[in-house]
Amino acid sequence: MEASTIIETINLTKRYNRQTAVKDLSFKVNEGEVFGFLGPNGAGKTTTLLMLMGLSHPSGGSARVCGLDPLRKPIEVKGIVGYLPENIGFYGDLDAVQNLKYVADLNGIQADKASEKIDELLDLVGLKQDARKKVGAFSRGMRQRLGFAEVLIKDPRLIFLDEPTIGLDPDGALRLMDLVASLNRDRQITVLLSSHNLHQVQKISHRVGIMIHGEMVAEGTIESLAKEKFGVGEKEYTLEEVYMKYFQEV
Amino acid sequence: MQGLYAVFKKELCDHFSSYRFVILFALIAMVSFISSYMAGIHMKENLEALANTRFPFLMLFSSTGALFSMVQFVAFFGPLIGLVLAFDSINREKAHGTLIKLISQPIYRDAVINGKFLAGIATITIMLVAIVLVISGLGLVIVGIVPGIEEIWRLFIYLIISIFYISFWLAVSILFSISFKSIATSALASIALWIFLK
Ligand SMILES: Nc1ncnc2c1ncn2[C@@H]1O[C@H](COP(=O)(O)OP(=O)(O)O)[C@@H](O)[C@H]1O
Ligand SMILES: [Mg+2]
Repeated sequence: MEASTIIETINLTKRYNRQTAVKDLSFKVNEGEVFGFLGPNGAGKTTTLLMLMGLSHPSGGSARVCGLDPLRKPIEVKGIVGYLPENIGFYGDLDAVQNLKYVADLNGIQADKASEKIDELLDLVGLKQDARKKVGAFSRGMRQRLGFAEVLIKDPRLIFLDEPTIGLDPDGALRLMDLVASLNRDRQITVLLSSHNLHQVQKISHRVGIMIHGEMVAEGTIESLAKEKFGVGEKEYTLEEVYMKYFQEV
Repeated sequence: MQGLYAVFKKELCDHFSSYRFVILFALIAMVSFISSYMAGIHMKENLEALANTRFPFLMLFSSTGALFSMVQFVAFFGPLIGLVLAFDSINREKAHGTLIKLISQPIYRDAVINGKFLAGIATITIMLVAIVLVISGLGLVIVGIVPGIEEIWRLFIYLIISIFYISFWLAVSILFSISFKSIATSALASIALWIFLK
């Protein structure tokens, strides 16, 4: 079965004053998969995600998200994409429910449907007991889980997660990744996951892309990348070994 | 526009539950109240003089019984009200990481700014209308004069103009909060502008 393409970029480029953050980026994400978006800090991952959301204007090239051009149809794209930014912020003097309610309002969700949804999502991310606590008092892990609930409230077809496990304890990171995997499995949400946690990315990703200095140096399943770099062999290579190999070559 | 109304509602809620609003409102209410009360007492003592004026009721708002009148006070402090209400409206969201979240929802970017502006106007309107009504009631009780139709009209027009006047400063402070990254800088710029113009 050939999966259909849900994200496609063609020679996508972003230049800031002097430096090129994203250079001629062309890659595809298939519908229904978890795509691990890897690369060192400053590789251009966040910049790419912003361009896919229509929040940043590309200097060149183009992108399609669900067949839509984020530059021309930003509202439509933002309606189907849930974006969890790197440092997600909340209104600290509001509680979890109020924060979620605002995002639901912004998405035009009816009040009664919204409160039903908020209950369900708080349960899903394990914040049910903290629903009425001020978000200002939340721990890093709780904030990240609330961020997930916020992203899911619009019933997205795909979600962009920008380093969601950064700063979390190992157990929190593991649980978050399990949540991502279950969202992908049970709700058929396509996931574009940027992360440095190679071990966990390997566990839940169907395909990965490695971005270094604004260029995608590799794209494919982990086995195919390993085969390309190390040749056919008995040994199963981990994503970490593959990643380091690519990294050293640049 | 769905986004506009959602932002408006949230911002209005924020205004009314903030200490900033309570302090501003208490300050304005107190000063207007005192100045009008003084004006009222003054008018009561000079009733003959009052009989010769065209709009005795409006004297409550404009006669300088004590140090200054309510109208002078609004003219002087109005800009500050506008500036204080919104000098950190956008850069605070940016600093707290909520702006990126707002604009990644399916709304137009203008909706964020316009929603905040409209909520500020609504706040100012409610403040001014409440104060004018309280002072009018005070006048009825202390001086015992009843406003004529024309005086009511004039008060109404005064209110509209004051709201426009303060809203202009509200817009300036939103502009500051967009152009200055740091909240402290936009606060300073607002106060500097106010002092410079006074
Ligand atoms: N607003 C900006 N202005 C100038 N340079 C930027 C801006 N945003 C990102 N960059 C630069 O672009 C490069 C890519 O950044 P980013 O996309 O955040 O990388 P990553 O998310 O992969 O760590 C970095 O070198 C960064 O300094
Ligand atoms: Mg980044």
